Amino acid sequence: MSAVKYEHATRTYEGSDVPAVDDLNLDVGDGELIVLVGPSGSGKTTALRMLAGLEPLDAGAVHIGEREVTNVRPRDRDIAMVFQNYALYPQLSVAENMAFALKQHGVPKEQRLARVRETARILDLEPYLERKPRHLSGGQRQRVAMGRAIVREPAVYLMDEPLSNLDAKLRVQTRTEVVELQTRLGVTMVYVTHDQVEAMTMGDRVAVLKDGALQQVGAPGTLYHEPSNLFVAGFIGSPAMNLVPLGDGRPVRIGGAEVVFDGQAAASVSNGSADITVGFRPEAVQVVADGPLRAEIRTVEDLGPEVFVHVTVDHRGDSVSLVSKMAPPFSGQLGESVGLELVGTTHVFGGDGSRIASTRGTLR
Amino acid sequence: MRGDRAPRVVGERRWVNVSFGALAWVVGLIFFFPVFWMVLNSFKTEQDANTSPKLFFHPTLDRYKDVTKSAGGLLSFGEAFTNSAVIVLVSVTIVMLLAIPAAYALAIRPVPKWRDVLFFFISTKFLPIVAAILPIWILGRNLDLLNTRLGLIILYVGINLPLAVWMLRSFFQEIPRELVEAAEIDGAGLRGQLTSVILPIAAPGIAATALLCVIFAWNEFFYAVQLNPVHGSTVPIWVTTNVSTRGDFLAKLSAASVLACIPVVLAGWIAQKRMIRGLAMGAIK
Repeated sequence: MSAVKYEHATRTYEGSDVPAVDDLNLDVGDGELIVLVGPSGSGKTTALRMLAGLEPLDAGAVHIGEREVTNVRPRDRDIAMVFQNYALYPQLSVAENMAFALKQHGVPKEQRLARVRETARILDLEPYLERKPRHLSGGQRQRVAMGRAIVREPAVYLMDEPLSNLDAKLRVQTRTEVVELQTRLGVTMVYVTHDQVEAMTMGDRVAVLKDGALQQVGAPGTLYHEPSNLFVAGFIGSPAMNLVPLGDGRPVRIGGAEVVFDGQAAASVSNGSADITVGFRPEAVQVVADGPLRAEIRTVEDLGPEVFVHVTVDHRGDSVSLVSKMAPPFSGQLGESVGLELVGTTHVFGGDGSRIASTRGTLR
Repeated sequence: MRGDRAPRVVGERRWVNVSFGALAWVVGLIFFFPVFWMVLNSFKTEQDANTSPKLFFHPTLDRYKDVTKSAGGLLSFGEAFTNSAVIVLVSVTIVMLLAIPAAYALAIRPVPKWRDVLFFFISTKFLPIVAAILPIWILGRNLDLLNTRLGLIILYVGINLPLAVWMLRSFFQEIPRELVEAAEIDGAGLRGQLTSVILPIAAPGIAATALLCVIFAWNEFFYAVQLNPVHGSTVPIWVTTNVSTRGDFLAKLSAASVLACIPVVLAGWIAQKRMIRGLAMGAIK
């Protein structure tokens, strides 16, 4: 049993009035891979370090399995951690690096060797066992750091941006390997990253943090399709969701076009008088020749399977940038005046940023 | 050594580099010249040493024989070297044993008010040595520590400790924090963290610190001559015994000085090898 539980976990750094992690409540299931994601300063690494025991809690508690570990030393928490810079012991060989924790825990030598060899086999590190970390490439070092964690068979794996020092191609490849490994070993893993693509592709569930506060926890699809607030809506997804503040005027208009909502949302939005913001994903807005909302093409990014068209619309005297995901071929020219059409879900966010409704919207 | 080759510089910068290089050599030679002259003098006869300087002469080891043969009642070469060796080794060992945990507490897990602690350490260096000599002498007399090795050991520990703590602290700060944390998560206790992570990585810094402490303790003269004039005298005092009021002594004094220098030079050479090996071990990234 190695579920993880944060209960009202709070940490305020010395000399700061604002908590780095504020009243965090989070349950991680046994064998689950959860990703903590957020911009820098969101408290994701602090949350991980609290679980590791490297950062004390000012309030609340942390549980690993059945045990409360809030005041347990890191070495007694039965965890393994992979650091962003790998933190390999430079004076020890790869094999010694991997065996270090076993040695500290008094595992007999033959057993140590066997486990190191087995782990090295899984990670394709066998040819490098006698080398020092400085003689390894970045990708190999990353694998040694993984190996050092795996060899221990701990209750929980903690990953602190372990892929951010790899080049783009290797990062994508290693991403898959980590997920495969986690599935195969069936272990609980808490994974921290600032990269929302990494979060979405890896996590069974993703927890989005901002300014030390948990914004939303859910499956990647849920975060994408049902973001609980403006921050999650803007943070998850690449390119980001188009967000247009519409103010408190009714009927709601983007530029000169009126936004009409389907179903129940229509009533709740048009009857209310609060400030609202509408959001729609790039795939939910299409560039057409003619349409009620006029726009000007600014850039066209042709990625092959899809084309991102960046346009600007005149909205209440300001020039607002929007992006549309189009299927190729796309023939529009820079500077060309085009129309826009809403084709998918439109999200409506209230004045406090929380989502009021998600519904089909059209422009009229 | 391959790593020593200077980087190639082109254009104007090259002449700047060349002239700086030449200047460095000139300054280096100026500094080295007195040492060179001392070594030369130590192989001369007193007569040669005291006439107009000459580069070519009949080298002789007689001065070394003169200074090392024990003269009845006077401080002998062997006695002074033994005293110095014991005092230096014991005091530097104690300094390192105390300074390493202190530096850990100041650098890796800073104690509250660590800045004040650090300042307190260095503040003990503000007082001129001579201003403290009378109370120290009285203390030494009352505690029966005058003319003992123990007295100087205690003093040299006190003199070197602040310096060692400061140096080690800055070296320890260079150790990536994640390494210590990784060791902590991997199950290493304080001792394990020190022996398997901190000490091996900070080895060059520790070698440099120990070397500096050895040099200071070996060369210290003022306290030694004030507190241990009769027994427990150290090498610097022995060197001065070769200064005589009758006859020439320049060659003899040179020979004694060369002998006094050898252990420090050796220590420096050994420490330097350790330092280079440590530096070559490389950082983590």
